[in-house]
Amino acid sequence: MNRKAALMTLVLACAAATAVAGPLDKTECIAPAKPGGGFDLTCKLAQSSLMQGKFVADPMRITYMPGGIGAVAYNAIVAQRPAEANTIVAFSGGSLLNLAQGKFGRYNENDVHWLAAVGSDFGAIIVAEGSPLKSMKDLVAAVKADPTKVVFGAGGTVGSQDWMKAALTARSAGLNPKSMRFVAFEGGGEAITALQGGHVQVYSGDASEAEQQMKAGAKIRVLAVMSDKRLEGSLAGVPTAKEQGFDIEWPIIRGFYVGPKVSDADYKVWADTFSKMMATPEFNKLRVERGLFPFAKTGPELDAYVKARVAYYRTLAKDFGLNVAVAK
Amino acid sequence: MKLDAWHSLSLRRTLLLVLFPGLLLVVGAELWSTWRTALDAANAAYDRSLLGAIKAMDANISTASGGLGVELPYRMLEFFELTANGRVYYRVATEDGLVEVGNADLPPPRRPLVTEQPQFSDASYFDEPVRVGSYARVLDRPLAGHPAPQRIVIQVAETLQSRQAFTRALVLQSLARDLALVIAAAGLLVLAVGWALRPLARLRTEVQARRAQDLRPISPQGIPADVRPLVEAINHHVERNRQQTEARRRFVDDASHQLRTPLATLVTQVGFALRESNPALQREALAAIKSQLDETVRQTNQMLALARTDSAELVPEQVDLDALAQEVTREWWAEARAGGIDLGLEPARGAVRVLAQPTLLKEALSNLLHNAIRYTPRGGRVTVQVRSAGPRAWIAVVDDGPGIQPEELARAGERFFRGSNVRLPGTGLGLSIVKSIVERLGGELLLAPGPEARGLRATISMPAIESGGEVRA
Repeated sequence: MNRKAALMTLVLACAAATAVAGPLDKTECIAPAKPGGGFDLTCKLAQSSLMQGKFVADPMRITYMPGGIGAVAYNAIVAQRPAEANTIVAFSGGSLLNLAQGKFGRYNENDVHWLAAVGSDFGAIIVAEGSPLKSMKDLVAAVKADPTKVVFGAGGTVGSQDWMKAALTARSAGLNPKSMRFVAFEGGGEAITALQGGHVQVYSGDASEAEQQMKAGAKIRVLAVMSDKRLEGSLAGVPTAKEQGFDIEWPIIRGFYVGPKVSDADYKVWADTFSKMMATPEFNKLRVERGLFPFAKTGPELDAYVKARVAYYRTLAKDFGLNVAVAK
Repeated sequence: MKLDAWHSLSLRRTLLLVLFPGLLLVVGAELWSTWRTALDAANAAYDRSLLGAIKAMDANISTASGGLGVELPYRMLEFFELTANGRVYYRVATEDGLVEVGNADLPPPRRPLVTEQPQFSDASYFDEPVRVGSYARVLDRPLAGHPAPQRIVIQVAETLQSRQAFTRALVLQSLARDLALVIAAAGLLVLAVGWALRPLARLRTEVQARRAQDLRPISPQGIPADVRPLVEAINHHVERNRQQTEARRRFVDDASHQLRTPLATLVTQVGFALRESNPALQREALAAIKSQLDETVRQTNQMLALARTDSAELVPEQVDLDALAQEVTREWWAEARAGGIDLGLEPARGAVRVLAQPTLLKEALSNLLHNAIRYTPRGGRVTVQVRSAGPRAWIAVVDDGPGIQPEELARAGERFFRGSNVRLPGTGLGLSIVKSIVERLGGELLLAPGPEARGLRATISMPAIESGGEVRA
């Protein structure tokens, strides 16, 4: 058995090493933001899981293509690199929200192959460690007192999911979301830097991202998580928004897509690889380390989910009076 | 019509009422212009630093990855907020809105942006006035997936505190200066008006202090040039009044002096005639009375004529001296012939004209002829001459009678003066009437001995009129 197993491993390794034109050779993950945010986190999870499970021979290369919370990368993949089988691009619920609002230029959700969702995250209300705001109630009171004094930072501009989270908070407190002062950043990493620098007072980001940053030593504090129940791990002590009297839930799925002209065969190789990888306990360990919650979908199952989600975001955007892209 | 009412206000009040609001208006306009200038200056200066911030932001835009990243120059922005003394906002975006970083709802530039030409405009951000600088440039390479060259728009906005402080300081300085100016101007105005009006107050007290009979002219010494014509006009008016009063007084004097004696004489003569029973003597007395009455009537007429010339209204017209001399001389021919006197006329034989009232001039010439014919002995000569020389024209009456003693010539023409060498009865008014008329007409009466130092030459000299009708200077 041992020999057989060793042989199998060797064969697999050789197959990986010799499959020169295969999709898993010289892989690249595009994080459509600057380093440090949720996209970076997603790519890094894929990078380490694939490497640890020896699904790839060389470490996956992570490149950063910031611009419009994935918009630039989406355009680049659809228009310029549609057939690059070994390139996967990270996406999040925010990308789907932007697609629903037509913020990805002339493309919509049918223009790429949705590959895999690797986990889920939840919205979080984050402040600097030294902030006088201690709860959601404090925050709402401060906004009510002077909306110009409380500046919301967000990855992405008006209509982005960070904006949406802040807007939902404002709406549940009876405030007009458009009266909030708002600064857009190119991804969550920048927003957390600005939060610590005092350039913004509140960041409506993601729980996993906050957890990662706190582990890395960022001087920030989470006021609330937007999940149905308290999270596990280091954020277990943070009350949900619901607990504090604000009925807001904001799950964020994280995953990958590939270009529209990637062949069905290559797509299947990728999808099967992710399915296999996500079934391993090593992956689960790495996922938990990165503060992501179980949400594993690949192939057609994910495709259906994404499309349903985009449809839901369309109605939400309509509710907030935002631009809505016409579904094709 | 309403404006006329203003004229009766005091000068001081009028000047202050006009000048003070006027000055305030000018100051207002000046302040407005200062404010505009200060605003332009502040904008020019502060827009430069705004452009600096835009350039710094631009330097931090990176497209190396194929995407678009902005390293936000927070340190620079903080420094900028310190110098701008307020808040600073920024926005970096691609023109299609695919990428948007910063204060997303910052007001867009007012006009379409020209590439690499900064545009500055005033706008409102969250109900706060801001100055927005906008700048567009073409990205070195288009973002991944974009087919055509792409422009990126960088906007930096600042609140207006430091600009307003700058402008306010300038305007306040200008306001202080203008207020000082207005106060100084008002003060100087009050002083100057008071000082200028002081001679008028002095004039008033001087005139008030005068006795009723004091009709001397008011001295124009020390009176402002603007008021001097008024003083002169009043002086002129007073002088005319004085002359009329004088004329009236003289008439009363003359009448009392001249009528008392003949009337007393007449009373005596009438008494004598009544007592006389001899008809021949009575008749003689009556003849004497008639002679006395004739003389008294003539004297009265002369006095009235004199009073008239003193006070009559002048209506001068152009008079041809030849025609006038001829007319008057003809009237006296009969008298001259009766007295055995050769009365002749020497006209100028050319148009000699003066500006005068013809009736008065005739009266004067008549008087001269009357004198000449009366005092020239039988067989003598009386000649009327009309002449002109240069700017003067004259009529002369020349006789070869007894004349006037040279030492008495200067006094001839005074009222009631009679030559010491005349025996005939007379009033002593004839020459003074002539003198009065001639002077009234603007001419002069010259008395001189006649030819060969005999008789008298009485000349009425007047300014001649040129053919054009102008009185020669």
